[in-house]
Amino acid sequence: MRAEPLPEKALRVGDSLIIADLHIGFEEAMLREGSYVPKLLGEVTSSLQRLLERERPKRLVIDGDLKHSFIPFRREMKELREFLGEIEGYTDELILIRGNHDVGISWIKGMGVEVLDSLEVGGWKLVHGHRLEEGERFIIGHEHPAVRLRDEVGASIKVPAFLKGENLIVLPAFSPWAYGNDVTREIVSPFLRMFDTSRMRVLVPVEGELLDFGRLGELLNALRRLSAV
Amino acid sequence: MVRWAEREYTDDEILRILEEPVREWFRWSFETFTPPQRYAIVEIHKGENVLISSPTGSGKTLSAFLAAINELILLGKEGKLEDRIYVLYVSPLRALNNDIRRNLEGPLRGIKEVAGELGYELPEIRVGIRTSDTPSYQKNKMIKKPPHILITTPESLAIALNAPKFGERLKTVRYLIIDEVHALAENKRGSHLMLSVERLQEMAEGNFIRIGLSATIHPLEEVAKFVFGFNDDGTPRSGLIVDVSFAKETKIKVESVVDDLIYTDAGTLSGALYNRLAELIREHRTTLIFTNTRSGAERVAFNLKKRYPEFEGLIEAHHSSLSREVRLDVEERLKRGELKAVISSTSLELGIDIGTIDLVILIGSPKSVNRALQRIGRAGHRLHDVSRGIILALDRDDLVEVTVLAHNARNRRLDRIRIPRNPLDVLVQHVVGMALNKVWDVGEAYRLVRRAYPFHELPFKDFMDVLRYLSGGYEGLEERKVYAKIWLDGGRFGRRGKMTRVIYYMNTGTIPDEAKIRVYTMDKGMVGTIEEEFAERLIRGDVFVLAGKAYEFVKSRGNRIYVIPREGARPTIPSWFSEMLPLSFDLAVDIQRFRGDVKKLLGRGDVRRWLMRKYGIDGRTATAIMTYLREQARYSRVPDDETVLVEEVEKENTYEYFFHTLIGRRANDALSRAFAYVVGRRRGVNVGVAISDNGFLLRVPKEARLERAEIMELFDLNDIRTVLERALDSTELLKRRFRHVANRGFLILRRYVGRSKRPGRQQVMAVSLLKVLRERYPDFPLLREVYREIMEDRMDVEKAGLLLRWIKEGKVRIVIEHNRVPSPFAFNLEAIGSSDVVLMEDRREMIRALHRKIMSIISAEAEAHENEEGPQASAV
Repeated sequence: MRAEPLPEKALRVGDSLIIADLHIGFEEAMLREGSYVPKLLGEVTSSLQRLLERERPKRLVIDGDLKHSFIPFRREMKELREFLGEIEGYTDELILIRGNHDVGISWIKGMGVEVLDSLEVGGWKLVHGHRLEEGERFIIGHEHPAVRLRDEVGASIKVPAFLKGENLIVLPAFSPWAYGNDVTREIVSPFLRMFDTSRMRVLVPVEGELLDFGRLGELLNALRRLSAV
Repeated sequence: MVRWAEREYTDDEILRILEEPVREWFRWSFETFTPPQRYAIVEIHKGENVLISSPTGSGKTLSAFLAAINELILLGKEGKLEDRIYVLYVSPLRALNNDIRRNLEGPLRGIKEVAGELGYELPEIRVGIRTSDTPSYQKNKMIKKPPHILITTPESLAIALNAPKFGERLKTVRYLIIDEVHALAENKRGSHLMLSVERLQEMAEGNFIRIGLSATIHPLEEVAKFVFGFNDDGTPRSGLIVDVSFAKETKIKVESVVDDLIYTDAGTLSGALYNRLAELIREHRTTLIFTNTRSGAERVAFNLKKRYPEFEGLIEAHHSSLSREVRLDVEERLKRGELKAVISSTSLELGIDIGTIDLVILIGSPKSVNRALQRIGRAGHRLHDVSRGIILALDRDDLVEVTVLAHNARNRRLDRIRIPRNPLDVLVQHVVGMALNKVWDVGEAYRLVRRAYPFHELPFKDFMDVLRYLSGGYEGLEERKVYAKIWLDGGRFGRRGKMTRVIYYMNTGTIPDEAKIRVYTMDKGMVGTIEEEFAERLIRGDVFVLAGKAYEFVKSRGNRIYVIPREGARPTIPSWFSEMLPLSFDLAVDIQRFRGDVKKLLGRGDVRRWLMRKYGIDGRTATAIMTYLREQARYSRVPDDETVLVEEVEKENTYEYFFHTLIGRRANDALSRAFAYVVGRRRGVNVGVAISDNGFLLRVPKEARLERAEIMELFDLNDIRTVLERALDSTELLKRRFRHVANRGFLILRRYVGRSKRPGRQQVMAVSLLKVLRERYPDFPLLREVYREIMEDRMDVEKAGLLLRWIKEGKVRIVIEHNRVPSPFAFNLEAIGSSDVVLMEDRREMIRALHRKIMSIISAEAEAHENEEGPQASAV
């Protein structure tokens, strides 16, 4: 089945809408380290609500890392409960593919969320991506992929991106805090080592549209050409 | 009132106030008092605050301490010496604390011995050091039995003020000595220290006497007020300025290492440099060499040893990246006269007794007259020795610059320093510190803060905004105020939160964590360092230039990147330099005038002689300067005090505009960003910026080529401050500086619960916070502070505005030219590469524009590829 990336950092496969890496509770975890950061959960929730209203999928799949902290604490649970309450009723099914951050989360089953390690959707296998799995065509999160673009005058900007290959799709992180991991520099997920990333397409979501920057290998060549002195 | 010390006391007058053992010890140890001692000792004895500006080797330390030591001896003689701190000495240089202790313990021992001979027993006067290096058992010992004289640093003082037991011990201070004031006044460390001092004064049992020690610095009246502070009625505290900075004779020479500084290749140039250095080292007993960077110091030391094996073991480098042991070892060998030469960046500029140096060499321009005098003053240890210095210029801009600089130094035309005003991030730290001490009445605290020079004009609103931030008053930043550090209620404030004390201890101080990225070859050899912003722009396969050599970027790991040398390869990305020593505006304007003067005389036969006579340079140097200006005049024209030249040059993907505005780096920093912003907004493009002391460069995409009228219009800019503030919003500079301000203002903690966080990680947080604060709280105090810091401390927006005014008034005219290649005066600017970029305001538009450009390159390549493959495919 066709997998269609959306500018809202989500992927549509048939009746399913897939997002990944929400990292709810990130702000609280930062405050615990002494950093004074503003809460963005409200914005995350409302953008997801708008998306669900427009797309009306039957099923919402969160492809791992719904939450952030490895040590469970009360305020994170409270935020999770609020978040799940806010998106309840938009879909028939809500599924979480367990990510490496999703520890101590079984209680959300009580809120009607199905928690799985992997899921088949339209010929794709959905896993979070922190460890290799058997299979052929995958959709993963975990990587928080981003590319750094630069121009002829030295401007530089890092943007979250989808990486899309024949047999692997990597979702950008849904969390606005995930600054993104520059995939031209370092790769986190073992999946990306299995596939030739230079042949994957780079799709950059920008406010309501999705810009296709071509294959990663070609993109890097073009960037070098553009900045040449 | 602050007055100039006019009375020079005689030996007898000074000796008369001294206690017998001190007097006899002095007579036995010295012939006579030095100038600063003649002016200062009696006045301090009388209870005056004193600022002493004098050269190294003039007995400055003793001028400051003798009156206090005398009082301690008197107390000892009378059996009244208690176990308490009488004298507090603060120096920004932790490394020098041991030297100061030694320099005090010697005389104290001497005085005690003399007293013994005179027939009475004196109690021991103890000298203690308290810094971040001091082990805690020693700190504990100090609480039980405090030293009479305590040596510390600004940071340790701030912590000591909040140490529950030790803070008590500081209340008895009678003399406060602040050393190296010139290294503090211009930065936030100084602002921070002066607030600590006012907090200490508030706690102290009585008014202590303030003694400031400084190298050559200008204007001394302001520096004196900085040290003395203000009374509650707004008048400056009274005190005396002792200016004997000209007591030592200085001889400065300028040399060009080769005849032709432009057409000599790098290899020949460095060959000539090392050759000349070796000659000078051989001719002198001990030579001290200064470079402007640490890596430069390393390189020079390495090359001298490699090229001249005779120097093996006789030449060492000394800079702050070296370990303490290595530095101490070098200092000791230097003092013992075992080294022929030492190469330093800034570490040997200040303080410590470094023995007898008979020549100081500066490689490259020291950028300021004050710094030149300070460095050269290290030669000739005793007051009556002449300090001899040679400045070696490495390129022609440098040569012109140091010629004028040396001329100004000889004529004692000093650069004015600028003392930061109202740094709110520093205030945040002290408000937290104060709240840890006790509950404050808001008015009382505000009064205290305004006694410190940097905060003397602090608006009450700013003070309240800081209290509001710290008490969690900016709602939405956090929900339940759990991380508020103070409470504010009914006109009073106090400490809040269990962790606040720990946060204060772990994060106080003003020096930002450096985020330099180290560059290694694949076999782990270190090549140098690059800036973070540049490192993150690199993509695999990029070729860039570092220290004159080309390297290919392979990979990055944490704070390191790995490269392969690629000699002669063409760079795929311009290098990036944003932090360098700036040339002062005053000196820059003098250089403009110099260019103008020489330009007018170029046609005349006696210009060479005139140059040599007026500027004290040799024939070779004069010729090099003339050739440089002649070439510029022939190819284009010489920008000077009446002309600003703007050159347009077409490059492969861009147009470059060279603005020859010789107003110093700080003013160019401001002007270039403002111009870039105007251009970027008008054309909807990103604009690259490179900045030097002599001008700046704007780099625009091909499609945004500027019309002549557009360039002229830039100079009509009316409110540069407002435009600049808007421009900063779209720069890398703002992001980086905001991290520093957020660190100082306890918004992003550098260290917390035993962990320190990587600067890279902190930077990510800073960028997100910056965005949210700008949207929701444009008036947030730390946000205002970052703009102030950039525009006033780092840049010089005022002087940039001054140039625009001169242009408007017709004093300076603009000339615009199109050149095929940059003119000789533009070479150095071109070599800088890149310093910053002013981005388009609309992020989405920016990504779209990039998309268009990148896709057109990709499709062009694909087409070319097809054309290549096409015929072959059909042949098969």
